[in-house]
Amino acid sequence: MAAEKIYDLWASRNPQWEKRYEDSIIKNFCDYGRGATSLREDRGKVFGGGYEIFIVAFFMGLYFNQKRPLIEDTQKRKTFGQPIQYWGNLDSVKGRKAYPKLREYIFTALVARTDIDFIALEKGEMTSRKAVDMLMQTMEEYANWGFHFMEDKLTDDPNYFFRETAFLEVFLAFDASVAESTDEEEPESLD
Amino acid sequence: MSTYQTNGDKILQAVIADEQLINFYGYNPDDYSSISDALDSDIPVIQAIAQIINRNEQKATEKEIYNEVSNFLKTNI
Amino acid sequence: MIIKEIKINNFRSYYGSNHLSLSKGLTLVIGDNGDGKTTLFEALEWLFDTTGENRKDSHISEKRKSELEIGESDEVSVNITFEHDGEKEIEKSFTFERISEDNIRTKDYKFIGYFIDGAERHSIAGDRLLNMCFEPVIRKYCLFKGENELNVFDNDTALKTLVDTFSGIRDFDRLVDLTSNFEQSSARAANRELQNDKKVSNQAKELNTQLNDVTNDIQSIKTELNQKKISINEFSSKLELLEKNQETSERYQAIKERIKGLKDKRAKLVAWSSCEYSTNLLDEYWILRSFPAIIKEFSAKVSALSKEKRRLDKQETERRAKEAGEREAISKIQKLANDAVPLPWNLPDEATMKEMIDDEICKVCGRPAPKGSEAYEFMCNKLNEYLAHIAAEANKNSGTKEDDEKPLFPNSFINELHSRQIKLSGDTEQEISKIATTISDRLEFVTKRKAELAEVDKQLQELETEQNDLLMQSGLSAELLDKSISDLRGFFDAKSRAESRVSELETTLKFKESARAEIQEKLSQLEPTSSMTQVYQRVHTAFERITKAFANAKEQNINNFLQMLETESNKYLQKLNKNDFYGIIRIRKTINNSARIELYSDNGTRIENPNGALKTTMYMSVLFAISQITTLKREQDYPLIFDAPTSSFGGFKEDTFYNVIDTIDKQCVIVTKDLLNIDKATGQKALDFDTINKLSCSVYRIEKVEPFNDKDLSTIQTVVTQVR
Repeated sequence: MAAEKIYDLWASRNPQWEKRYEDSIIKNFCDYGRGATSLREDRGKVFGGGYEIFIVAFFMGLYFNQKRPLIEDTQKRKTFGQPIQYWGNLDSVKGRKAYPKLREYIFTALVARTDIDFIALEKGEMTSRKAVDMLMQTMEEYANWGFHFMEDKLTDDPNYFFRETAFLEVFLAFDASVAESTDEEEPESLD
Repeated sequence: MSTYQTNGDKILQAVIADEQLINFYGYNPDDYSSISDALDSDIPVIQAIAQIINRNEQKATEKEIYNEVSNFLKTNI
Repeated sequence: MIIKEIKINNFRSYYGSNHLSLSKGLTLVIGDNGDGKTTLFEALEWLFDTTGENRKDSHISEKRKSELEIGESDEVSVNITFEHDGEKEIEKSFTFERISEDNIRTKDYKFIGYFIDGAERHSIAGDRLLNMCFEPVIRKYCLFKGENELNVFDNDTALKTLVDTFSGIRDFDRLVDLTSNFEQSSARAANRELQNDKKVSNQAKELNTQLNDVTNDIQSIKTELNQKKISINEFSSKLELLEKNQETSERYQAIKERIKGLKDKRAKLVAWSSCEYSTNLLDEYWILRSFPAIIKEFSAKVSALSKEKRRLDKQETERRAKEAGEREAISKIQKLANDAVPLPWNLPDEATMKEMIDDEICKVCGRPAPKGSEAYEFMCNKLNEYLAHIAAEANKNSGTKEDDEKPLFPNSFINELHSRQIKLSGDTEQEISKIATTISDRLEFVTKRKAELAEVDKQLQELETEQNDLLMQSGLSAELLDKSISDLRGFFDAKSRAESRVSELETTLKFKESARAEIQEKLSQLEPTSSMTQVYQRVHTAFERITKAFANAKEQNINNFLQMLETESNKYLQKLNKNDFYGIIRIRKTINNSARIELYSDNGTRIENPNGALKTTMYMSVLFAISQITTLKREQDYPLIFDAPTSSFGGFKEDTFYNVIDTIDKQCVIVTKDLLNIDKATGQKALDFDTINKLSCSVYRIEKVEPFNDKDLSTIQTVVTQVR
């Protein structure tokens, strides 16, 4: 029997998000709840499936490094129709390209940012299920913050994210290179 | 111009100045400087021409003019 | 008729009262576009309009209108005083009154003429006086608005009108038709008689049939000839138009090509300047722009984990090894400790002990140990102890082995993460760190393409404006200018074909006509018995000759007129062009009973496209000639009034030109932009006094009063000033 992979366990899951963002954000920017995404362009939505805006929200939380716990009342939460393992598999959607590797990067980020005692997990002192729960929580909380961030912006300016460069601009505002911090150290070392 | 020429007079003069006509009928066009002169002419064709011009000025119908002139010619030619 | 003065009150831009005194020779009225040149003209046209009461709101000066209080009124009027068998005056006017803020009412329309009879001034209906002194057909050849109206033969009925009006003989056409019909009727009558005449009836019938046939043939040939000639005419005009506009056409097409090229370029730029900013975040992984730091975090964490795991693993392994070693040592020691006396290495083992027991002898010291003896018991106990110890050892070992088999890390998630990390490092990490550059490069690319696109759009607009200007200036349609060389060739070929056909037809026609003449001759030579028949023959012959005489006279009349017109025109042409090249005017009759004015050089070649100034003087010469002929025939003079565009007069020394016109014994008014210099930079207008001072004629300036607002008619006012 092949050993189970934590990645696969995680990918078979489906993150939760707060229902309150369904109308204000998800349906606004995605073709959520309407089936075939090939008509996205015709309907004028920015993204296709609902999970796409979730991914965007997630990365916003990730780069800002801000989390926001989900609402306690599970009645007020929802999930998407597709587990993570299918995210980015765009089967011949007009004008789009598949991005299957993105799931793996998300996983990578979650591992980096979740405080799991991997040694304990490795020893079997923690269940893999528990570890994945923690990863999911990180994921959901980053995304939740991202949704909150977007909603805030839209309240100030309802047209904010409808400008074609709005989403990109959010991500352009973060630092891109890693080398910056090391550069700062160098002058000191000359002393 | 010493005497006043009506339009009809001028037409008459232009027509009877035709060389072939002069050759056929042998007349002097200078003898007829007006319609009234031509109407009194004893050369039938001159009279006929004058009649055509004159009756046309008087607004006679084509049929009338034809009948008058052809009958005139029949009896005089 | 000599116009002495023109007064214009409140007619459109002529606010208040304005007047011009005209000289007997030339009066020049100078003004820029929009200053009121055409309005002056239109005021006269309005005055001369006898078709009915005409008091439009649009004739009223907006400025005056705007000044009126409610209840106030004023008058629009145009008035000329002129000499025509005594002094006369004609005025057209109407009153306008403000009845509310937005409403003006017009009333009291008057059109009155005045003349002096003896010592008294009498009034008469304006249209009556006008028609007596200045009939429509004369007016037609006196007022010319714009360049296009100068060609007096522009429409088909022009020649007939001219001939009827000015040749001195009217109504030839009617008479020609009449006599022609008479000839036919008398022919029919004579032939009927011949066919009934006993002697000649058969021949007559036969000849008549032939006559009918050949007449029909002639008719259809003439019809086809006519059609072909009309076609040739059309082709000629088209060719002329195309050739004349060759240059313009080429320019037009060059612009069209450039526009197409730019549009193609534009399409590409449009494609290049679009970018899927949002979906590229996912599809092109642009969202990973800031991800390298996260990868580093992940790598560090996983490396640490991996290291930790290995460390722990190693630790465990060491611990177990140590434990295992200890156990082994202990067991070895225990083995030793089971004997009371530590035995040297060559201790007896189980087999030996058994042997010793069986043999009842200690083979170590050699003492016999018979069964039941102390020594014997001792050996058995030792053996039993030994066996028990072995068993206990065995138990102990098996327990420890189980422990040894259970791993410290049953899971390999960290290994999984480690593999993932290895996969990430190297190329993948490199690729992700390039994303930032990819994005900025792409954005820069799009920005540049957008700038280029804006530039292209600007160029396109300029070109399109250029194209429109070209169309407007040339006054031609886009389709005409679109025609290329191949069309030219097409027309040329079609024209040639038509011309050969015409040639053929004309030959056949001649043949048929002489055949007909022959038949008619034969008919007339038939000697009928009846004298009545002979009479009919003679009558017919007479009609035949009369008809011919009328037809010839008519042609002669036209030819005389055209000849006279040609001669007179050339006199004027020579005067107007003085020392410059001028050529010879020929006035040719055309197929459809009209005429064309053509210019020939001294050696007989036709000048196809006389330049603007030459062309205008050519037409003006004809107009002067017509006016001259009118004077001769009517014993009355009539003024010529031109609203002339400057483009035609360009290339002339204005002083020479205008002075010559001034000397022509004819009253002439020319409204023009000439002699007005406009500074291109400042828009300032100034009269060219250097040239004006050389003129002998009187000169007026009309201009809009400053300040004015082009969009607000109530600020517009034209003012008339006499300059000399």
